[in-house]
Amino acid sequence: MRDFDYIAPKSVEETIKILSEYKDDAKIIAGGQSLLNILKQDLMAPEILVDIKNLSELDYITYDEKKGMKIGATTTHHAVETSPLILDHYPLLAEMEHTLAFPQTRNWGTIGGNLCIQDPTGDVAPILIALKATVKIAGPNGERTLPMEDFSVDYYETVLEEDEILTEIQIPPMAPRTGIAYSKFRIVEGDAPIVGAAVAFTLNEDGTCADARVATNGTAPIPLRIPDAEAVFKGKKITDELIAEAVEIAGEAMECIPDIVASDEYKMRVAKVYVKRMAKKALSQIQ
Amino acid sequence: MITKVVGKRVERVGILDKVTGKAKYGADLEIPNALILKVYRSPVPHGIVRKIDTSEAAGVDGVVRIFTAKDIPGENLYGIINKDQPVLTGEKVRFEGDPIVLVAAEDEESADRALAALRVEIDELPAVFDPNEALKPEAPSIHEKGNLLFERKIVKGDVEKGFTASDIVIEETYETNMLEHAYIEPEVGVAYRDEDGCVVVLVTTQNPHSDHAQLVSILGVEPEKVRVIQTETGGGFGGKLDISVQPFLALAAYHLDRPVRMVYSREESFQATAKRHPLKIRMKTGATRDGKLTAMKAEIIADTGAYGSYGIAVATRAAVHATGPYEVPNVYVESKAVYTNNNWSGAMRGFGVPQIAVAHESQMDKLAESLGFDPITFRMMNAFTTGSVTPTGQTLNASVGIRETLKKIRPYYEQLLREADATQLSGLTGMKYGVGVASMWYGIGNTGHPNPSSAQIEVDHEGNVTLFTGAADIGQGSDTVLVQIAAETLGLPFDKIHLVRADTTLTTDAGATSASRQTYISGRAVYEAALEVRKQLVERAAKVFKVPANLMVCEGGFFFPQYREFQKLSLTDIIRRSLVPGEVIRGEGYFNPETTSLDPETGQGVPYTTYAFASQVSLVEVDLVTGQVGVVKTISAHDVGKAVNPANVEGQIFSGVAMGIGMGLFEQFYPRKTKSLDTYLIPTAMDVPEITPVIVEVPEPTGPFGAKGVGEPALIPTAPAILNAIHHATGWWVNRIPADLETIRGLTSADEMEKSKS
Amino acid sequence: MEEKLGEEIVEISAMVNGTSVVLRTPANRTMLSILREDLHLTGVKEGCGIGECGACTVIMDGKVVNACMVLAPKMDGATITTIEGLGDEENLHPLQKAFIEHGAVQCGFCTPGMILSAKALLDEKPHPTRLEIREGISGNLCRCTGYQQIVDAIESVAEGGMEEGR
Repeated sequence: MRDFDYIAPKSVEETIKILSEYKDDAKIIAGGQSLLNILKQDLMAPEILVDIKNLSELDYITYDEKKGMKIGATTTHHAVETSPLILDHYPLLAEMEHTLAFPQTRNWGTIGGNLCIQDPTGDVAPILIALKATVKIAGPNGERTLPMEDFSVDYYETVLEEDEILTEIQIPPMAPRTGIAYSKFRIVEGDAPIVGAAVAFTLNEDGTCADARVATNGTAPIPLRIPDAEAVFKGKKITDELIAEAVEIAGEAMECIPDIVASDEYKMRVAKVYVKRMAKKALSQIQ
Repeated sequence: MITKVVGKRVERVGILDKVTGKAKYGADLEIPNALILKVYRSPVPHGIVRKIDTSEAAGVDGVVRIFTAKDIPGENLYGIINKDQPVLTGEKVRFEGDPIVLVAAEDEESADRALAALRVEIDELPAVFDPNEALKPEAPSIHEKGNLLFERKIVKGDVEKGFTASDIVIEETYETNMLEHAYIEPEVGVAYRDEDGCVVVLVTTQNPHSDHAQLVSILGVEPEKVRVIQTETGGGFGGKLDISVQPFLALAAYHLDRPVRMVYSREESFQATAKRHPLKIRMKTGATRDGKLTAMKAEIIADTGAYGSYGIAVATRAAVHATGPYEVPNVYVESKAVYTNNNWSGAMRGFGVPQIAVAHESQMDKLAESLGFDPITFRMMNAFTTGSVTPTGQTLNASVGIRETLKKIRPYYEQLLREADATQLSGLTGMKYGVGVASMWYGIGNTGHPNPSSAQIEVDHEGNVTLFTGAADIGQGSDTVLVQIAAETLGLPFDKIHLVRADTTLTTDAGATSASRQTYISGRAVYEAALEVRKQLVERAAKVFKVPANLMVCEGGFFFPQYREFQKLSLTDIIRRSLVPGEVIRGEGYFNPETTSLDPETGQGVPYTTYAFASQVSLVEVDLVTGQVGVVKTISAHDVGKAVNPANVEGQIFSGVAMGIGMGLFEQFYPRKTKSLDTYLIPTAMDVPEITPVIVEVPEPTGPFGAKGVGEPALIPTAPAILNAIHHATGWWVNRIPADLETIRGLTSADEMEKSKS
Repeated sequence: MEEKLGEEIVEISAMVNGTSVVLRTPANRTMLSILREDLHLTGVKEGCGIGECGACTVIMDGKVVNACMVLAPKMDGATITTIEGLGDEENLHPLQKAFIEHGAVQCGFCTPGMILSAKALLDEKPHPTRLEIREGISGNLCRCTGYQQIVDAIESVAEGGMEEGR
């Protein structure tokens, strides 16, 4: 690791002040479960490391019947995994967290850090997209909020400006008659997913589809929301044929990258199967 | 035989230090004032070193000395079987990672800066990465003597006549993977020159006496000017048989007046040390309609990469074991080890036998299925028994437990078949369940070479008993087993024996911790030493009691004349009454199992005195959609001769199955691409099923208390049992390992995909 | 820039194995190097340096972390337990005893981290199933044992209760 100055600001306000001053010479670290390996390889050499891991201001999980769930950005994976509120309202999120990397990683890594690193195989983002989550960003000019799917830009790159910080993840209350499922595929326990898929359906009282969400990971440089696949279901009664149609459309949206573990073609085929399986699973929860 | 210590689950020697964190591995040794060593390695796989400019690097703050090939005082060439590997290469690089320059600096940062400041010019040469390509006349020449390192032939009977007399002949090509040992402790050591000018190297190793011999040659000094001491060693699996940090440490300590330390990062451990040889195997096997094997022909090509290391042993072992543990009257095997510009391959748990077992066990199942036999029956019909003649013409006279292991797994096999059927009916669509069997044989010790071990036991005038052994315990448990054998033989309690191990000044050569040989060979040497001490103690006791020695009884640490147990005296009592201060009783033990070198043309001879045998059955699940295979259950029966410590034997079986799952299903080292444990995946606790170990004991007359070995055998049947189970589940023959996602997925036809969709 | 906000050198005040520790260190280090090099707690092992093997597992504020993946300054204010703080020869922790009794150790390099993961697991979930035990130690790679005797050892403590035998 190169030398850097270290500072652990006491508030979001102070954090933004530091970022505003140092701009891209500063780098925020939270749990650092990915960033530390980047720093160790000298792939990044910030002048100042801004440590927000202990910003208690950002470590919370709250739930409101109307507004839904708010999760502070420095909340650990373990806290999400074991939160009674999350187990009550979004059990799928807790279930995913339970299988994210290793216990050691979950105990120290944060949900905000996971999103900001923007590893394309990360499995937090697709669930949040399926849950219609938004992210809150604070900067020198105040706060802005945007949908989860608009947060990622490219490999390891997000919309965050150099003086901005991700502060909160907001998940709206689940609409009645909503089913949601996520699963990922990997080789051994704790390994990063090769691909994963999250699907959510909300049905009208007549059983037709009021809303659908389809999101995948490991299938593009960013977590992929696939609106064209979602559109297949809207207003219709969900059938196996419809799911098959959506799966094909989802496949067209994917730009899988081959690597040491799997070819692009393989990844796409497995991702499509996972979209199909998750669609059926989500549907089974509400039928 | 009723034993008191042997056969018992005694507490492992040294375990208290390991569970409390006190055990000192190489990286834990604190040597004040030590310099840090780092190596500059070739960034290209093949080339000529044109120029090494160290001037800028030498000027970096904190750099103490920079070494190149010309600083090596002795022979700049090492290798455990054939010497072809330079410590620092000054002329040619043969793989990406070949060491060129060694830096000694005050701290790691300075060493890193020096590496960055080195200017090394290399003229790149065309490289060859496929051993078949490397054998072509137009291939780039990697070593002056050519790219064929070694060829072994085994000829028994007339293989073509054998095929003519066969009712069925199956011929198939198999491929196996390059693997990384992935012991959790990377290579590390420290070195210094002591007051007598002796270069002392403390290092993680499987092979201290061989390390010593090689360092003596590299430094060009007298043997007493080098001392190698094994530190606590965090696993080896064959990967710590070759020297790694040793020559760098010794070279720097030789030249400098400072102690030195060298630690490989995980990345360097991956890049710079041996791998498992990938094998390409063409195998043709014939049988008669009534199920008797008639002939087997095999062509084997092993990619030994840039250097020979154990390539000769691997090619030989694969050839010698190519039939599997079955009687085949006509055999013809050609086995080659070939240089390429890949990472060099060396020893890894089983030396080619785990690879060849994939071929012979697949062939056995293919034949059994074609002939309408179940896999156990077919193996039983052909399995070795006492009096069988092996492909090298050796008659097996004793301890042939293969049939016993097959008998032991039979009920489990039936049970797993029922489970597979039941799970299939109630299970998820797209999932298939199957049961597979595999057997193996494994010759204990070096192949057709003398491989002696020696040991000493001393009793001092205060009654302290010390066992001296050169055997390196790398975690497998030889310390415990050797102390058990000494205690049993001496009639002493286990904890009465003090151990001094693996120090080339204090102990004599016990040979490498490899080839599953320490229990059998060093165990026998310890047994001989203990017998000698016991004889002397009995003589002393006889004098104390004033009776003839043949009337003395030695039991449980006590001595007494026959029928006079009430007069018994402890070992300490005898010692006090018969030894003067400074006097010691000493026993020397030596054992070199009888072998003959194999005939260069026919491979005939006695490669090993004894063999271990095993049979295994596994239940697997296959996900047709993703191609993922999981091992649900495994039962593994091993004929170990005698389990000196059953808990250790079981530990080896669990370990071998776990490693075999990685080998069979997902482990694959890609030269120049695989960097660390984030992409080289090894099984976690979640990826290994519950394993049922079955210990079979068919005693080996030349082994200590009948013992043979189990370290490598434990691994061997796992991958082939998985492949055979995949076939049972899906009907597909997978002729390569790993049976990874895309291999399995690629076998799924569109039809099957359609059926599994839901 | 008018004033420098951060510091290259940080002060750490931590409770390590029941002892209060105060030290100053460059910030660009990991907890692993502080524990091993500055505090000489060499029971904490380095196997990969990238958070994959778990050999450097320690318990920090009640939870297991990979010491190689925690920035040194984060030790400030933390309570840390390494294998050296769990039990010694005279007063072994029940898990240490169980690992000895079950022969759950071969080369021993993963053992300190493995035992600490087991302790954190049993502290959070005193009666885990064998599968939960396997999950709990899934971040600790072992190449020697095949894990089975380790699972046996942890299970025996879970059945007997952590307090028994202390």
